[in-house]
Amino acid sequence: MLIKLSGGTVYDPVHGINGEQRDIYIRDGHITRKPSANVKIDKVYDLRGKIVMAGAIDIHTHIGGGKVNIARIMLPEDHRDDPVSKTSVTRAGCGHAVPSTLTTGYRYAEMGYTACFEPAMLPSNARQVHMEMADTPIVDKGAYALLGSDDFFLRMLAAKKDQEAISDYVGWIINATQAIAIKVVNPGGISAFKFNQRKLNLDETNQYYGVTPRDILIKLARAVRELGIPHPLHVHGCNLGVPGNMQTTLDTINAVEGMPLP
Amino acid sequence: MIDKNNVARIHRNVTCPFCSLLCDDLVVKNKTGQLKVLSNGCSIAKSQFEQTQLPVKPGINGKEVTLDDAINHVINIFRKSRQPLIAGLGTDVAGMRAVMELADKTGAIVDHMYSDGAMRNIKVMQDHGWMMTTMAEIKNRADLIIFAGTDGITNYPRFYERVIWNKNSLFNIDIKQREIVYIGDHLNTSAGKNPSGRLPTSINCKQEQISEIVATLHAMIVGNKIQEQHVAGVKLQVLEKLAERMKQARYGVIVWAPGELNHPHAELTIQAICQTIKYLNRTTRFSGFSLAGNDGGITAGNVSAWLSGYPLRVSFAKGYPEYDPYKYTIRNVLNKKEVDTLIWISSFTATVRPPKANIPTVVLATPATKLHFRPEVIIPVGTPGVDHGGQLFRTDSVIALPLKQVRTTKYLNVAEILNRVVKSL
Repeated sequence: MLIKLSGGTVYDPVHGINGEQRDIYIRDGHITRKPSANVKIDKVYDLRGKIVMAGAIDIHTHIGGGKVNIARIMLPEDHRDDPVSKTSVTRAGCGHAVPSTLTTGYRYAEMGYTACFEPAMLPSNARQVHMEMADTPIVDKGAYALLGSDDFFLRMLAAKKDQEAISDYVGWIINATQAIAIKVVNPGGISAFKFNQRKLNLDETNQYYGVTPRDILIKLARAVRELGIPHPLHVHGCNLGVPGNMQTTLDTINAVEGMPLP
Repeated sequence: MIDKNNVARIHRNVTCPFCSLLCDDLVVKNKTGQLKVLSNGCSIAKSQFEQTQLPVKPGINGKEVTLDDAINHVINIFRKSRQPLIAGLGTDVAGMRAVMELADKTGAIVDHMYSDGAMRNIKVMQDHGWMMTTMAEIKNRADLIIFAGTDGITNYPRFYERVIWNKNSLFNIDIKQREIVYIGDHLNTSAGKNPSGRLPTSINCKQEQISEIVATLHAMIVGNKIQEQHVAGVKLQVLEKLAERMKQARYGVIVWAPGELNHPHAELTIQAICQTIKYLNRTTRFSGFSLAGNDGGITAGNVSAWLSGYPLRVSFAKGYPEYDPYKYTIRNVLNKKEVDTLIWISSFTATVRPPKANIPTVVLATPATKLHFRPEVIIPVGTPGVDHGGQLFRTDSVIALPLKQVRTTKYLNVAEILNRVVKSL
């Protein structure tokens, strides 16, 4: 199927196009060059007076999974102030801090987003993340698998398993949870919490496993790089919720020894 | 009815859908459509899986009809209805997604058969918040487990086997030292005996008095002095000893079953428990655990929340979802005659019965369901995890288990039927 987007004002920074009126051709879902004159165009959309840009990507948006749904359940008063009526082409829902999944998809599309990523998919809750994303219409979705306080991984670290074994585990997690990247939150700290250890600085050891957040970050960042995962290790710093954690955050950024770290 | 196309086969790692523990280690044999649980099935699993599936035909006003005629009649009922109620909701994720789409399309009210229990938890989560744990964490960490208002064994036969009296644990904790405490009455405390011989502690009081006991424990843990010598008939020293034990716990758990706390304002009991847990976390680790959500209860709440924003008791009558946990209940809207049509869904337990309301009623139920009235339409449906695959959420909500198909039947599943209705409206 060949589609023509006709006469829109195009902004494409990557190709240096800054507000030029241009036609865009799409064949079978891919943007393509202008076809020769004798090729039949199946559908034309008149975009005169409209702006055309590449779809925005939200690389960190909590759109699915148990904790997001808990937030929805906890905010009936927030939803009540932002009801979304159904229309002939959309279903009912609600906003606003944590909209229902259908409203999430519609609003992202209305804002010009084409892809959204849930950044904290608990591997044991992956099914729910995928279910909620599947019920988020229009936009493309993906999720990052959360590692760093999982006991299997921390046991490997404590047993000084080599990087290859750790990378294998990370690869397995990516596949089993259908993740697109790896996320780490409060590395080792969430595990420490369960042992009643109330803070964990970058170079402090988890009282049970004897490994530090720095060890965890470096091993995971290397695994991500060696597996060739395009998105770098996505980090939420240490001491989550502990007052004064700014210093830890700065230390964390310095910790990964030059590897990219969003 | 048994389909002669059933291949004799042994299925392993089968998830049992018949209580909200969703044990997934069952071995089930299918022989010409008759099922037998070979291992890891409790009494509930055996009695449910091993039922012979009865050959029941769809019916309109008691007369046997074809499936197509029954579904068309359902479509017509919905076309005429101005305020439907979709209730029961004993189904899987796919079934609930179809329910929510149908509710959106028809402006229906949505409520689950066991939402009285569920709402006790939801209200606490919404008003106060809570800190909860999971089965794996209890199994591997708990040194003190307090059962408040439930014994956990009566309705969840494998709870202790799977989560309390495990032989090994991840952190080498001494299971022989694991302590059990019961607070309540008419509880079966026999499962609380540690294999090492250590007996559980039993604090007897009426269900309605549990909140008094918990409030007293909380006050003692805070360090307040109690003037009375007895609280709810229990000697103060008994409670002092327990309060001290709770403070010394390294990973304590309080277990309750919201469906078993059947007294008015039971959510306040649950809130008292959660407040105590919150206070204990100043110095140690303590968490709550809720045993609930049979017949798709957790699934219904979760799917309703992500698709509408609200955890059941939601109405689509105004074209947008409206939540009222006091108004949009099955009991209330039927008693006050606020709905003109009922569609009742129950694909798991045959003993569940729809309410009798003098309005056009459609029943989608497992064939063994014995009705005590004649609905306008009855369509027998398959059971998720037996007749078709799917997903269900476990009692601790974090985990959704995949369900297998272990038997072939001619019955459609709930999602298939509702999706046909939605497409035609």
